[in-house]
Amino acid sequence: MNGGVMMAERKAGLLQALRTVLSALFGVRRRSTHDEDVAGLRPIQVIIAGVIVVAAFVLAIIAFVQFVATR
Amino acid sequence: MEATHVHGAGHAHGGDHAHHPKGIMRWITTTNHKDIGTMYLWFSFTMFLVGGVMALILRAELFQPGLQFVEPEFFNQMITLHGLIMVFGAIMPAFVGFANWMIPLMIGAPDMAFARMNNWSFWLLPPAGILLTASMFVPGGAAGTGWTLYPPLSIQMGIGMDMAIFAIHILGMSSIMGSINIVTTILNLRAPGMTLMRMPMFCWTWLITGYLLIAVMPVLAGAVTMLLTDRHFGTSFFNAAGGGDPVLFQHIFWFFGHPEVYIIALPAFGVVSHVIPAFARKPLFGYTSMVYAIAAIALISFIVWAHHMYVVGMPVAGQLYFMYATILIAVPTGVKVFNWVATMWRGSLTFETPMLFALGFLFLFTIGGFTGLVLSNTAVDVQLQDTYYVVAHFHYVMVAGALFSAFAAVYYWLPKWTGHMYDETLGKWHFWLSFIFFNIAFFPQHFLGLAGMPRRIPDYALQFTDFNQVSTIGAFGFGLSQLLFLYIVLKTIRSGEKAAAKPWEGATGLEWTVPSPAPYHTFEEPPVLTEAKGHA
Repeated sequence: MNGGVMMAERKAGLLQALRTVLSALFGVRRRSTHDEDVAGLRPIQVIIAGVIVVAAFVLAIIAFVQFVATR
Repeated sequence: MEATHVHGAGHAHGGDHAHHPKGIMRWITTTNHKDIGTMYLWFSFTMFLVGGVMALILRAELFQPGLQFVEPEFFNQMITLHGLIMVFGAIMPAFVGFANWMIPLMIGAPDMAFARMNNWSFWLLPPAGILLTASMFVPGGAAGTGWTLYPPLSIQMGIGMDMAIFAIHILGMSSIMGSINIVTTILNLRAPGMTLMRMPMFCWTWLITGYLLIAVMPVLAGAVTMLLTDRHFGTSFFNAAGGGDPVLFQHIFWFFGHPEVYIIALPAFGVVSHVIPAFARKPLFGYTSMVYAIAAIALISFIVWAHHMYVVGMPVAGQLYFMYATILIAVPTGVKVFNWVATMWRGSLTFETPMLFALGFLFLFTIGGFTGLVLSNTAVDVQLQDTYYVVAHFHYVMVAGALFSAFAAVYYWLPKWTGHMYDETLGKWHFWLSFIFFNIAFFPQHFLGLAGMPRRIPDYALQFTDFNQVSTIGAFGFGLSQLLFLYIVLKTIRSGEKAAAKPWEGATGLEWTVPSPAPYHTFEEPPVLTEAKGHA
């Protein structure tokens, strides 16, 4: 986990950030995937992914409520 | 890295640096994070006793049906001040105190990032505490609205209400400055090599709490400012007679109020995430998941506020939305409970006082979490809103959650602060007395609430008498047990076995590399982290 190496390898995409956030909601994950994240992800990517997931979460609940309430 | 740069391993209360003022001026002018942390902790304990006496007045009145000791108006004032003082005066400053003392030590920083602002953050608190307590003695008495300050009641009250509003403004300013300081310290002053994902969990919880505070304290300040202008400057934000909407206040208040629950709970989670690994002699299970789960809780805490308002009047779709969202927030919280249990799994456990309080936290907080799930169901909540079931629920979260975790923190770090070990036997007595009396005080309140006893009323129907008497006995036992805590802390400061730099076999982290008591100045040069010195 050398700092210089970390900077060079930071090229993970938004999909990986989304996967990280979703696995955080589930709560348990492999150490190897975590190590990949630490090496590849920048904090800002995780934050953006987190906000996206929360927005999607809210919209999903609203959609479900609409489905239930209008039946 | 073994603290060779740390000089003058003398007494934490001065002596090793001759140039700082002595006596009272030392405390007024200090910019030292340890001094300020100590002041925060003593302030919060003082307010804890004040708020506790108010609670005992309430419980004494509720020992029997009918009115015995106090007038209903005074009862309402005690309800309000007990809530405000415990939330803003006792629990929040206690965790800011821990943050001041421990975060620089944990991340290898010489002090907080804004040392003078730190002094000002603290010294705003005593005037606010005085405003709140003195409001009892003004014409009309203190605010009697409950800590939620709902209009129209809060628009009608006397000057005591204005004093409460100003106190909240001041406390809010202090919190915002404190959290800016903590966030900046954590982001900028970490020792070289301490990446964010190697940071102790207590720092992580405070980093996220700091952002929560910066986000929601201005919302509360706005709400009470609108109350103030409604009261004195002819606006009608919340005054229905002028076209305003009292329900608007409830939405704004709870948009602050729900994240506030996590502002109190997250640092408590941080403490427990240090104590349990130390006494299980295993690293924290799922450190990364824990970090993400805390961030997830913080984000989701913003989207569930109206579950406090099911009976206010809301479309069915709104009720369903807030019900589903609230039930789902239990998932990341449950993840953490499993993480702590998995940390203990097959560890070599010992049960010193900090561990006892951490386990008490885990057990009772889980009960409080479950009753929260019960209340999150709209159909159930409509029955239980404003009953003692709610009182029981949030005391399991606030007292058994935050307060027990604060006790765990004090016993865990007291050797580092004072240089002495506390009396283990007395500490265990304090835990068991607190644990047993807490449950005697609050468990029967579930039954009272289910049977329909309303909260915030000084009188009740005869059939509630037995459980109320049990509850009052428990409350007095719990209150008196806290005097034992005061005695233990004073005794530890004055005497006791000398503490080693690392008094706990399983403890990890930079704070245990400096001598006990921690010298007045530490980490003037940043320590060098090796791969082995990971997060706690």
